[in-house]
Amino acid sequence: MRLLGADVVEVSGGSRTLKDAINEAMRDWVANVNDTYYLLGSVLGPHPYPLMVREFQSVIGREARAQSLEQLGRLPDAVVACVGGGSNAMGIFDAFVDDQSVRLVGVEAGGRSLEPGQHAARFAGGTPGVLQGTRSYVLQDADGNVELTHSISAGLDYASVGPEHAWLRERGRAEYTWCDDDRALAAFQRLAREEGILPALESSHAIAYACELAGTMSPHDIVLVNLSGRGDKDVLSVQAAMEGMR
Amino acid sequence: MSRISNAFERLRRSGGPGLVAYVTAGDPTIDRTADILTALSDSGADVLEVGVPFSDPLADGPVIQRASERALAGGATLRRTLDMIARSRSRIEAPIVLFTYVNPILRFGKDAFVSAAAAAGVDGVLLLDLPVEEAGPLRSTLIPASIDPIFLLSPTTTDVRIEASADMGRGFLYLISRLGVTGARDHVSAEAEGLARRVRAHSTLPLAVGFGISRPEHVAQVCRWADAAVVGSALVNVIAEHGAAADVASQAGRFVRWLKEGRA
Repeated sequence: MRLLGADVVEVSGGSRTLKDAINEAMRDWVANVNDTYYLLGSVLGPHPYPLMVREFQSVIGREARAQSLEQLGRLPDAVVACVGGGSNAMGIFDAFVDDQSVRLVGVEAGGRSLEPGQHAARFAGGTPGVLQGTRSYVLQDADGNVELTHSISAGLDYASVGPEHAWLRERGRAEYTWCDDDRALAAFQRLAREEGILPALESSHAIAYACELAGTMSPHDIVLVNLSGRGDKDVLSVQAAMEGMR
Repeated sequence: MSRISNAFERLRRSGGPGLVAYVTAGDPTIDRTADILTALSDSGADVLEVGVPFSDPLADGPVIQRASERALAGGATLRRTLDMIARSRSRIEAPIVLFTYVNPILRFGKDAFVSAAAAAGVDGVLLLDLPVEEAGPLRSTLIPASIDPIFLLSPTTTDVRIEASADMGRGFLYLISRLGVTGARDHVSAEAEGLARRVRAHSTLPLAVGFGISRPEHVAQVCRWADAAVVGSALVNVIAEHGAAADVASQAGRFVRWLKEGRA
């Protein structure tokens, strides 16, 4: 971000995680709304942000669907994407929502375990609530306070999830599962070794689940994975995690 | 007529400056909050705002954020706040407004919350992050329970939304004096009076002006064109300073007298 000319300001309040950075960004925004645009990077926040971000991200789904038809002569059997806020997943799902033959699978961060505070699998451990202007599934305690989260990947480390995902899930159109830190890390290494591709740790969650899913399918079936980010940014945390495992 | 409307009616008759005093429930402890509320009421606060501590107080500046963190660390919750109000209601004269984010209420359950709040003697509910467009269901549960729904308006609020809030609000309307979050400032924002004028064109409800108000001259200035000033962070600072001391409640009371009268 600094390379691109941004001032990066650290957050000292609250639990010092992504949600606290969003709180601070929103506080700054309401104070300076006349000359500040709040660029929300996921399908979250008050209406119409989730729709705007989905629309901008949907290019990936349209291209993937067109390329599937062109190169494979048919649609994939399943589309798999990681879900933090869920923008890459909404972007790729959106083009396939009406194709009932295509399974849509979102993969959340299972973190260290499904104990509170150790993961970010909102559909596994959350309940409906309102966080930062969005009503969706939220990891929260019995009093409505937002729980801390953990994931090896910063982009999945958030206590709520895009509301359209909750809606797709309730409609039964998309299904959601989770993948823990270790499986994501193993998938990261596998793709690096076998394909020479460094995936983002976020996307590694989708890759890990896609490999497991593929094992249950026929060799002729096609699984489309959204490789939503590059792993260059993650090499230091991957190194730290690999050293920690040794 | 609600206890809140009565308080503002009394103010209009007396012509004196109105003061809405905010504290965070559970800071320093939930029992001390009851003593503080009693002292604030006895010292002349016209309306009491009780902040429900929340993990993500988006609309609050650092002072109330820290108070919320202290209160949560001490185990304060919406339920314990309501229990505290119920226990101490008979010794607190001033009307009590709950100042809260919406998620604790959703978690509690809307209907269960409204009956518990009514039973505790809560007079009004102000939801920081519930837009007027989404407020219908809660409002229509609060009104039959004789609890006033109170809406927030800011300098960027459009006339259409002012009208909707004026139409749906009861008790008083809360004007945010400036863009931004809660916190004490040196001067009352110049935008505030213009906002009050715009709101008066749509509503006869009393107006309370908050955000950035911390001194008796601010209170006096605001009350020239509004019914009351809201003081939060400055009072929370006094409580934070004396939190451990036995006389925290009387210190808070002294601060309120100073705000209203310009002398302690």
